[in-house]
Amino acid sequence: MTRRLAIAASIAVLASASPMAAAEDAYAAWERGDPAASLAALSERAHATDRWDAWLDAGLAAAAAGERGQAAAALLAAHRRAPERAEPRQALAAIGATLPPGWLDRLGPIAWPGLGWSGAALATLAGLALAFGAARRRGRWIAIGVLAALAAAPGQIASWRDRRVPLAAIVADTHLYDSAGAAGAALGAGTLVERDAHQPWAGRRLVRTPDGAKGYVAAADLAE
Amino acid sequence: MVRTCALILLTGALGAVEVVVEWPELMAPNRAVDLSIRIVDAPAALSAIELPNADGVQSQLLNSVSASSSVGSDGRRTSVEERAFRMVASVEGELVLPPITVRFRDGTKAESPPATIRVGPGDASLVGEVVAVARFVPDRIVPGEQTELVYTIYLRRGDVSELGIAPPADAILLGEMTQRARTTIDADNKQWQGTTFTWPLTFAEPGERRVVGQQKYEVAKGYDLFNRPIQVQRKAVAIKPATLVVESLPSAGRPDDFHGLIGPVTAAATLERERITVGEGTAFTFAVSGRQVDLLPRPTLTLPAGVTAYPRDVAAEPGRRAFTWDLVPATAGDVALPALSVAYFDPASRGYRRAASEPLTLQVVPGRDQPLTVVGRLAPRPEPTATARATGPTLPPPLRGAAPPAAPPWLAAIGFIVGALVGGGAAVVGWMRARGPRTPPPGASLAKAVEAGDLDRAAEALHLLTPRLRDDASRALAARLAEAVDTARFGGASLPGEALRWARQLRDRS
Repeated sequence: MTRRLAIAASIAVLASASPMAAAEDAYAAWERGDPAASLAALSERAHATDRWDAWLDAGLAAAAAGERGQAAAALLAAHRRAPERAEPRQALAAIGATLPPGWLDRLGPIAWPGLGWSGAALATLAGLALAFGAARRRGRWIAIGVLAALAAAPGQIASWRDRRVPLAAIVADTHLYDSAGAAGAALGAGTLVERDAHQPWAGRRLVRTPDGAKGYVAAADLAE
Repeated sequence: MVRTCALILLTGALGAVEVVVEWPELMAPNRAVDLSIRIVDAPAALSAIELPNADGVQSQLLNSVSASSSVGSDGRRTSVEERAFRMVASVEGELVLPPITVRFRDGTKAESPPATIRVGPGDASLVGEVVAVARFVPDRIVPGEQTELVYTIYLRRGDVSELGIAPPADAILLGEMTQRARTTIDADNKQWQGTTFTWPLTFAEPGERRVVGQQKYEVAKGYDLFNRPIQVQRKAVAIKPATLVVESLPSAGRPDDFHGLIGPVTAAATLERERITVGEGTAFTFAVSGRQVDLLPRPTLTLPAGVTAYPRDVAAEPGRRAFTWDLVPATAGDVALPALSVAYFDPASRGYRRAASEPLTLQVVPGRDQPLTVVGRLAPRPEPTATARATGPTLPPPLRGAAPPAAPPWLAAIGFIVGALVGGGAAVVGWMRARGPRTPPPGASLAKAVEAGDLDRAAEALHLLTPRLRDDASRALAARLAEAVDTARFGGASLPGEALRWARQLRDRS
């Protein structure tokens, strides 16, 4: 019995250690000055874990490797997963793709209590206090619940809105096409564009560029 | 039906006083035609109507007068007064008719718009009962260029309730369908009612489009007492088809900065202030007007050295797009602002052209000198300690998985629900605890205790039960049972045989 437990524990330790070791290998290539070699492994890790910091590291590696399109797409994915974190926004600005101001920027400190884990804790407290206060008819508990809900709401709503901004990154140098299919202004890889709500048309999506121009971009050149 | 719809649409679209005349499209020479003038929302009673006096035209008012009023869906009352007149044209050709002037008793007047009619032999293509013709105007365009699908139904008799054609499925409609009704004549000088429907549209892809269909119509043999058609016969007639050729945009002479704009396009540049002092700024705006201008990116503004341009947000409205820069010159002098231009396809010449703004000059004058007198000792100038260097944003270091995981977006909602469940559960548990264990009613306890021969419990149950008994008989029965129980408890005697019956009676009465 003891032997079986020891074998199971060893397997568990090895299983948890192997991705970490793989990730360390990916960073090692980057540390040697070859970020392009790390890119595939970091992208794979980002897709597998879907963590914001994994997407950030993949974006940073792409930026260091000169892959602006891939960098903007990964950093945008990191921003979507943690809009309250400053690192993705800072990295996007560093590669020349500035994010438009979102609700979290506009609300500032008002949104802070409702963000991330503190927001979840406040929401839990609000539910607990409101349900307890309503069931036991205790005004104090209801007041605590309302206060907790009011503290959590701005951050939660702003975070929810910022995750849903219809932004997309241009992953390869392309052109903005007009409705007749003729190529117009050039769009460099890494440019952030705003997706229009319309359906794709002839394999293209209607977008709005940062300078306000509207046109179509091949769906393959867009990372959403 | 079509005519009624046209009248309703026309009447609904009108606001103030309006004079409407349904001029015929074609008139036979030297043949009288009865027409009507509709005066919508007249401000006062009519005092005079001045009919057109053109060469070769004779008009005369008839005695026929009718008036009606209706209330629209917006609650606004609309009055319509109709006067008939007869017109005879003696000269063949195209006649330009001056406006009809209607004078009212309050001194105001209103005029109908001028009209053009044709006088000549009737249209020989109008035969049978119904003729339907579709056509594109123009019938040859490039992608993005506007054309119109014009569909005309001529009715000698009968009525139409639905249209037999619609724009092609891949057409991009550029506006609402418009409708216009006009009468005309056939080769036998018989009058036909014509209604024309027009769709402004364009296409995104080159190719040939053909609009075909059958126009259904109904012919009634007569009308009943309530003006309802009787013995209606349903028929259909083939529509003369329309063909449109959408050519590809020519590649020859296509400018590099062509962004799909189709003419006419106009461009203009303006300066917020043409004369400023050094240190001040002014706004330079380049505005482009035309269709599809939202496809246009911000043009490159090349400025002389010493002038910095800061682009502002693009102001866009339907049919117009304005690009604005804040210009801040560093030195005095005249600043030549270059002409900006945009490329567009000109449908008239079938070639590419440019719409350009005029070059402008910004006068920058030196600021006024202010004499400054310094008193006291000059303080020593501090030595620069460090050189300030402007740096842009830099890439943050990688996190290597060390960052705390972001809370999932659904966690707050789940936390709220879990918290509510826990809070509600805690409240229920607290309430149950406060309530304590549930005890059976004393009557039942008494019966059970007597049945089991447990005299102490029976005495306790009787003690609890007695104050709850309402009638004297029950209380007397309880006292008798209490005496028997006490005798048994302390005297050593056994309970009488009726004790269990008494206990059950007391249980039932309690």
